[in-house]
Amino acid sequence: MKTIGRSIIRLIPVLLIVSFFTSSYVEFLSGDPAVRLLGQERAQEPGAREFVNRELHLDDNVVVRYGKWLGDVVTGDLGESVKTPGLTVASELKNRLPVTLEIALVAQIFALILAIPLGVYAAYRAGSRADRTLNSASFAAISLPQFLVGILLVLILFNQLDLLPPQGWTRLTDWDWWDHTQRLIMPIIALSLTEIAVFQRLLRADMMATLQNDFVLTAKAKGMSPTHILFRHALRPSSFSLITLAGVSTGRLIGGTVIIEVLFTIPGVGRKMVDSITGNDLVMLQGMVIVVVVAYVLLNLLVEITYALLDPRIRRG
Amino acid sequence: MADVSIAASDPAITHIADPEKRRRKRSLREGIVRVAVGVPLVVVQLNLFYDSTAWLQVVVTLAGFYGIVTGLGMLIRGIFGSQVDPATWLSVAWIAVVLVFVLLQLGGLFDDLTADFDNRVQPPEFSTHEPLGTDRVGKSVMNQAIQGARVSLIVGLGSVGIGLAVGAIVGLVAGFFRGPTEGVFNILTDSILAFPALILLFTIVAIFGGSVLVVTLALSMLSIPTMGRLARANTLTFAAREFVTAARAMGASNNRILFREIMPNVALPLASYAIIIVAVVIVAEASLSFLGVGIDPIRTPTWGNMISEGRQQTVLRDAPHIVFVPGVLMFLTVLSLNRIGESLRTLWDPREAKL
Repeated sequence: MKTIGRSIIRLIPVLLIVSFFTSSYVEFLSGDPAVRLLGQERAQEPGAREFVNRELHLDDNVVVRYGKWLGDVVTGDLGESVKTPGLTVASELKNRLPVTLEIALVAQIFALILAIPLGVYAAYRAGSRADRTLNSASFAAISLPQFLVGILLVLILFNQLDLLPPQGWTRLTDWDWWDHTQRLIMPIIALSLTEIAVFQRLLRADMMATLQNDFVLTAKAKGMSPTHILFRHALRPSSFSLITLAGVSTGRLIGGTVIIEVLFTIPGVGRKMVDSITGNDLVMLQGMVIVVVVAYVLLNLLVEITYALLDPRIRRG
Repeated sequence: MADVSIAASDPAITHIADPEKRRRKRSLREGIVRVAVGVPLVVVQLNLFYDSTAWLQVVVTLAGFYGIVTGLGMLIRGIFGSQVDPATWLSVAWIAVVLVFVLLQLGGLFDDLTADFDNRVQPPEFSTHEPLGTDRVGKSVMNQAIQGARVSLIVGLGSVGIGLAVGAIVGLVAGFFRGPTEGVFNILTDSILAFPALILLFTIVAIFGGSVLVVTLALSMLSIPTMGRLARANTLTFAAREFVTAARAMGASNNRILFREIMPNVALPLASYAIIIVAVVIVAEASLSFLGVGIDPIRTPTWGNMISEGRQQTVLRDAPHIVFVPGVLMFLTVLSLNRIGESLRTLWDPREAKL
């Protein structure tokens, strides 16, 4: 419990610093913020300047502005797009967050489903030809950027074989499951390839250490089948660091979904962030970044707590 | 004893009796065969990339590359003996090749990026003066790729260099003095790493604009906390060692202990991680360019910018080489850096060596 409490306390300054940085984007903008955000013409319209000033609290000093912004955010008001008046950040998030989360989660689950048997097998047959092949393959996969995998998939599965649609998205609420699945395949493969490789290598290393233990030898001596020993006895003690990594890398996946969403034109949070940058929509960008970052921080906390609950040594320490 | 002396006196018998020599010879032979088969496969296929069954040609090209790489590995084993790691040396060789091209570029070669509308979207053809083809406006893909290599290396080495210098010092101080210094250090690194990396990067670039300098500094913001944490962790283990206690007992000052006793020990493992982070940074820079929020594509060609241009559906269909050339170069470079860093880490990292 002490560890958990301490990590929660550690979070508070981090959240303050992170939110302060996010809220102060406008400080760094050169020139007149209204012109920079709205463009020369719209900044001249009556009320436009007041709108920008109000949305960004430009009449206050830095600290007061941060306070007001934080107050708004905490009460759920993430602001309104300066480009499309009336479009709130919250409504955009409500539309887009489920899409991003779906891709990230499916990719993570897919990666674990593939990586666990591969890692266990590589540890069981350590040093064999299959193990060495897997080892080189996963090393290559780690060095392959996601957007390259994605482009390669499009080139082969769409341009050459014409099996899958190259881009676009159907919402889950349209109930077109077949189309939805088809459009999910390439993004998921592109996103999870690196994860599979990383998980497989980690599990292999931990599993090999576990297999040195006496209880494995005992189980073998009792005549248990290798499958039973590997999956029922050795997998659990070998999976602690895998769980941590899977949790932490979900955050990395959020970065990865940005690329995948742009590449496959999927209407998720990442694509909106990129669009907000190219369109100078500062309030939209701030709102999305703060939500994603806070979610990421809380997720890491959750991982830490789960880890503490699983491993009694940390729970007591 | 008698057997050995007889064997040594007869060259024919030594030749057969020494298994290492025999292995080397077989390795050399097999290596030559593989390279000899692989090179024509790749050369022929790269020039025929435009047929309808390109996926088959991708397979053949990959097979050719596999032949060349494994063949070169076997040649290395054949020449230097079986105890060297051919993958690492191949990686070193590749990085050396990239460096040579970048230096030539800095010296003024491969400079020509004029658009030539009469020669748009030319496929790679080794016999012409554009061996890697041209892009949509007729600019040389080879020259762009080499200039892209320059940008990638400058950004990668520059940002990790900054990260290594700043991170090492801050991490050393935090790990050595503990207490409030360490607390502040932890909060700051936690805060930077609380952002998903790509999101932090593109917000910085969005604010300050996409020049090489801004991207380098933004990426160093990422490597400083990573290097700092590693430096701190290593400092903690070394600060508890006997030689530090001994130095303190002899009356050494904090500065002396920190910079003369601990730093040399921390530097090597840190350097091996730094090489891996260079690879990460190169991918991150390319990702930014790919998203269109990185280095300005009009003035500076980078690998990411080239890939971003070539991925447009019609371009990808008609001219896949615009994506493939920078893609393959980047993949090989990142792979090599990862390989070298990994080898150095097993060699230098004390915590790794225990396993």
